[in-house]
Amino acid sequence: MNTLILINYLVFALFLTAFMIEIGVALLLLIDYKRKDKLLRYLMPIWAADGTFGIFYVVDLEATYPSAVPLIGKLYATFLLIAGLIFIFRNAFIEYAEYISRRSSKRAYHIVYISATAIVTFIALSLLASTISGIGVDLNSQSIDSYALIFNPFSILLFISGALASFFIASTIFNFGKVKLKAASIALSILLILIGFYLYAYNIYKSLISNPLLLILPISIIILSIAMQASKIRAYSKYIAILSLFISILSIEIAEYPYIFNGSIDLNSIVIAGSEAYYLTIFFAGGIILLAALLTIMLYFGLISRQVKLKA
Amino acid sequence: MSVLFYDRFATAFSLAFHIIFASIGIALPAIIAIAEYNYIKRKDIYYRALANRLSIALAILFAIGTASGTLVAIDLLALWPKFMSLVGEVAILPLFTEVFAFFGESILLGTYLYLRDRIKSDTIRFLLISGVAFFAASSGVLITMINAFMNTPVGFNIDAYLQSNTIEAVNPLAAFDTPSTPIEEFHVISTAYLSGSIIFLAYFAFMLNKNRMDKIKKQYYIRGVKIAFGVAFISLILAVISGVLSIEMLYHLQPEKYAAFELDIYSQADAPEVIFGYYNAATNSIKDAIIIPGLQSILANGSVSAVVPGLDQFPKDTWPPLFVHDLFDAMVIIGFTLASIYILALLLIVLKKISIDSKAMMYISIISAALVVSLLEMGWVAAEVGRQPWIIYNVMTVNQAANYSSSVIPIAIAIVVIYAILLPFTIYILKRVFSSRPIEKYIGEYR
Repeated sequence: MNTLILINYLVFALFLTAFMIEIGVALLLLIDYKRKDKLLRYLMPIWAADGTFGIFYVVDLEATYPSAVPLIGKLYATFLLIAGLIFIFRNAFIEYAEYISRRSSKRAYHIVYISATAIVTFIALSLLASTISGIGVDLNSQSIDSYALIFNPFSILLFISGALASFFIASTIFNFGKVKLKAASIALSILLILIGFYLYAYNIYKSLISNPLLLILPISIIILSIAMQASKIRAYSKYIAILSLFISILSIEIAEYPYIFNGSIDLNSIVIAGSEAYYLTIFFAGGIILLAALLTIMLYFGLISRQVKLKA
Repeated sequence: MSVLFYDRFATAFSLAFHIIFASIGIALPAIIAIAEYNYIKRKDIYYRALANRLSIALAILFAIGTASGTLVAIDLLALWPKFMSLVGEVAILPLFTEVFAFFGESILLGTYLYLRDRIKSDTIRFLLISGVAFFAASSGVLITMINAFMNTPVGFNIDAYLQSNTIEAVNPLAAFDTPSTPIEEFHVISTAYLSGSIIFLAYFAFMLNKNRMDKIKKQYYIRGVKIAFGVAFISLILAVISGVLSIEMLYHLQPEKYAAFELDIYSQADAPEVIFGYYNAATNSIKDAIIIPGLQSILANGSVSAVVPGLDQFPKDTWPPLFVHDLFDAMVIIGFTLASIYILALLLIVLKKISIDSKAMMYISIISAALVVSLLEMGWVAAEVGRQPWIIYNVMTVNQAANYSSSVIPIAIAIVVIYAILLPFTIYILKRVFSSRPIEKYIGEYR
């Protein structure tokens, strides 16, 4: 596999993992607002970094497939701009809510934040669904049917599956609900996405079935995470659950390789080559080392805070 | 109105809004870091209170700044796809690197703001916010490299691109150091510190005057004024120097923009300095201007005999709109007036003729904040409009780069509406947040 395509897959998997965790936390906030202190203690330090993963993906996309940028702009300009505008509300209202002291305003602002995050995710997943299935996109005329692009069965299946997976991750991280409920939600999520692939992106389904590693590995890690939740070492299950989400997204991307738009475009034909590709790989490696160091700093202080709290 | 108009309008409006927040995002962490440092050095609890209260403002303004920055990035992709395609092919590395600077800013700020109560060491708190300040400035530096590339493109065979639309001989590292990069960086960063700090100087000076009879508040705001004044004063001097260097740079690297800024119709030696006035196309001459003979040649190259470029060297259809000349003159006059006032104010403070909490200082601070924010906007308008019709100078025009889908029109309108609501609402939230967290509470907690 082309290194830059793999990097782009990794960046996307990182971005979607981070964003789906956030969506899961937002869902829990909506379901059980009384637990907001615990949920926000996790969410507040990381929401900005979550958004940055989105920007990282957009810039990496521009860097990896520059010749495709005019097509992306032409097809998705409206959706991207709407998502960008709603993203402003997400950012603004999570911080307004954090510092405003009136309780009723706080709750209202949190609801605006949750709604904005859900809409941005819905748009992002719809665009993702269209690049997988090609539904709503006419590549010959370089045009889209906006209604068909959003309100098609595959897009909706993907969204519901994503919401269930987000719930599974967030409820595992925060030990919310019974293990059976979490297991059922992730099982349903897997089932829905497989049905979606079978009906609307058969090449991915075929690839997943014919290459068992792509299906068995993520499912095994998910099962491990669920099994750990029912055991004495459940404190570590959240890390395994996050890993399982990351591996699942990556597996789907690899199963789709090298095509997008249901086999219409071969990524190898549009990926950048030459010296730009070489330096991009090096800068990516350097950047990831920096990012890992920064996240370690945050994790270190986060763990210190936990220890201080436990002692108290 | 054409779709192109809306493309321009949406981008210009997003950028006009974003640069204010970006400037605050660069200057404010530095101000907070100075307050933290002063607390470590002097164990003065007012500095700790200052750092903590300002960090709330930073959190809220950073949230909106990052979102408006994201919108600018999306604008570029969605509204100017051919431009971003070329940038992606030859000059993406600064933008790619900027993402990691942005990560640095987000992660360290998240740690500083939301985990700091658990961090016992004052030095670590100082290091965290200094890291935020470093990455914020780095973001500014890296994104400015893309703008420098737009002004002085390098890193690929431009002739081959113009002749056959092929991209050859790419050197991706060249975008880090185009001929205009060093001066442009110097000017952008110094003006970012200036505008970001002067807004807070005006706020502190106003609050200081309003609360001069309240001992605690006076002590608090006076420290804010001192830090903001220090940052604003140094950056103002640097902004003036970098501004002068920028004109020299245009003279050598972008003669067409230079000629439009100076309203030079003809290329000539012993060129006069033309202040304001307008170009009369019918008579091909300048009207209603103040003319100072020979001055421009001296300023441009140190000699009356120096030849300055004129617009007559370039086809008329590549002339930028000439109102940039008025913007340029206004910027120069305001910039030098501000620098003179601040030097005078500093002198009067040192000579103890006026005090830092005087009404005179308050008025100077408020008026200069309004002027500097106007300067910031004028500077960007002049810089971008002065490059028209090019989006990448002498390589790609704005028309060639644009997205002509009519679907962008309602979005362009929505951008204006949303920003028009968001800005006053954010100020309202900040006001409510600060009034619910009185300074006395902080001071009481630290005692």
